[in-house]
Amino acid sequence: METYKNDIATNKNYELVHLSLDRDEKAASAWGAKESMPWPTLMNEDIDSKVLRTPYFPDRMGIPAYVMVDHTGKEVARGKQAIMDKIK
Amino acid sequence: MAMKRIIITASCLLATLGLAEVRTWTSATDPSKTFEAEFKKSDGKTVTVLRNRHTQKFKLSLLSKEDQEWVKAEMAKGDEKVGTSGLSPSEFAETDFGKALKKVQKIDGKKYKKAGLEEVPKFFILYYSASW
Repeated sequence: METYKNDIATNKNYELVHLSLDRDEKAASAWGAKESMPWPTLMNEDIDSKVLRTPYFPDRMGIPAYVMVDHTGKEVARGKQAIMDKIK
Repeated sequence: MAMKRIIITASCLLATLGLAEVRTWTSATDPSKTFEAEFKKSDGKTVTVLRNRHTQKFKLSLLSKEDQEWVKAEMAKGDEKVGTSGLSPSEFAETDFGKALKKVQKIDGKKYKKAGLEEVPKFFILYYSASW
């Protein structure tokens, strides 16, 4: 959360989008509310698998996972540390 | 070839001059009543159009629900900011990747509500996670 507030929310070159893998929307909402998540979120049912899962998030990949893409969807970095290195 | 060049030049000129497309408008009370005119502006309560080279202003509520929504969408475009990607949110929404992010929501109290992106950045960080 601190990283988001300090390094992402203040930088217009980046936006974090949370892709919720919760199949239960109530659970996702409760979690988001509890943590006061400020970032835009895509609910599980709204995730287009072909565009947002298959290319970046293979089946066996664990969570949480972070992938940086440009505005056309081209991957530019993977993993929290690699992404932070790009931002800073 | 020459004709094609003329058409392209004319299209570019029209675009440069900001000439909008003439569209068909429908009455709120009688769907059989329609007219063609170019949208000029709206303040949210009234709408101004250019019809047969004459400017006409009337209540937005006189138009069909679809027309009213179209006007609101046009007004929203005017308020859009171009992000560091060089795209406005509506331009981004036309791309494949933009379409996939169209349904983003933000937490509002205890529930998520449709929010949309205010600006389109150069880069997105996709964060895959779950509450469990």
